[in-house]
Amino acid sequence: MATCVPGTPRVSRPRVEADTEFAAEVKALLACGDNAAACARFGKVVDQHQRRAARIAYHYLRDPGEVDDAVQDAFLKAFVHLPSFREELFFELWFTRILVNCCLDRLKVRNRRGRWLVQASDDDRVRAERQPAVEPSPETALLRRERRAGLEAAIDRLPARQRSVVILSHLEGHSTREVAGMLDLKEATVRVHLFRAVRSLRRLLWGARWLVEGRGERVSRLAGAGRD
Amino acid sequence: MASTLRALGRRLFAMRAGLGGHHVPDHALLDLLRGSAPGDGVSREATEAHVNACLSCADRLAELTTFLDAITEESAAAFDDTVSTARLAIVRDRIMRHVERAAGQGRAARILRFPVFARPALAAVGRVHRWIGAAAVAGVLTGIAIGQFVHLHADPEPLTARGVGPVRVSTEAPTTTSDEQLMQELELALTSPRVSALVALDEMTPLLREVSINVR
Repeated sequence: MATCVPGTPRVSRPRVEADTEFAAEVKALLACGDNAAACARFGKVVDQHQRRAARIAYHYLRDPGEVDDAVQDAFLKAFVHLPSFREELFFELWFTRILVNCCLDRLKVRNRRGRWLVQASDDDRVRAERQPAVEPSPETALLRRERRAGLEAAIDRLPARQRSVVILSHLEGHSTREVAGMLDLKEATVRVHLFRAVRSLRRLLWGARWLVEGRGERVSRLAGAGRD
Repeated sequence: MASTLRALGRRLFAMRAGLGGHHVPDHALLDLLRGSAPGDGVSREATEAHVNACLSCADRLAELTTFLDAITEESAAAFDDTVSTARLAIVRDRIMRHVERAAGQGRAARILRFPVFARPALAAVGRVHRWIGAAAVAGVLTGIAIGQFVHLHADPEPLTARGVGPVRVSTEAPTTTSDEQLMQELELALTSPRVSALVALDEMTPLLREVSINVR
């Protein structure tokens, strides 16, 4: 039986990120039939990406249970299709594309189901799913809930592509090039979608109290800086 | 035509940004904020120089920054409040279990009993059921034993006491007739049914004569 050494350096290979290295190693181990080692190595990939993946899924789905399922599906799909992963691609981009597709599929299913089923009211949902460890004062909780509901509603009202762009490029901090790779779009298209999304968000959230207060603080900060 | 207008617009914007006397459009501010090179053929340095010189554009940039930062902070806080680290750890374990199974490294499939609750439920009430069964069997056996020793025939006297006439018991010995003869007598009796409702039923029923003829 041939021995498998996944960590051996490959000649004339472009520099890739750590997670792509891990993914390449998992792929090599799977090719060698060393499944136990492949699983252990894939655990590191999960450790690196799980939180980010859950955050992205949360921006799409807003439901913790569905977020868990979407992240799990994405990792499982990534593992199963890892033999088809090309190392010249970044694993993060490849995986994010899988994740976004999982989330969009779930949204489609939810919308289809929503036509037939009556959903629980927002208040019920909030009570059932959002129970922070430390309960703030009722006023703070109310303001926060109002703030988040407004923001989430504004993001959800964006067209699907604009929403994806704003989530990945702004909320997750990916560059335009990375987002273009994740969504299979041109960079110019990503920039246009981002600009339109930000413009729509500003229009939708215009006059929101928390933004106005933030603006006031900023203005006072600027004034103070100007005096200094 | 459209492309010409677009080119003209780009040139105008480039002139404005380069001269520093006019304002930078929002999309260029967004590009500047994100650190990406602005499009429209304008250099990043020119846009930056304009923003530094123009108070209005600087204010708009600051406002945009505040807006986007607020959204980012709020979204991150919403996620942190909703999805805890413990939850992520549980999901991670679940993911790894599925991955191990997908890799064929997992444990053998667990067979669930159906219905799952049947066995424990029986175990819980089994003792009670056993006692009820034993008591029922003991009761039946006791009843049979008592029935062997005690004469439980009804006495006819109470009937006479209530005004009912004495039961006439035939003392004649049963006539010894053959079965075929008895059946023929019965048939003859039934050929003229007195109950009109049974006439139709009687017509549907084959007679013994016919049956016996067919058999022979």
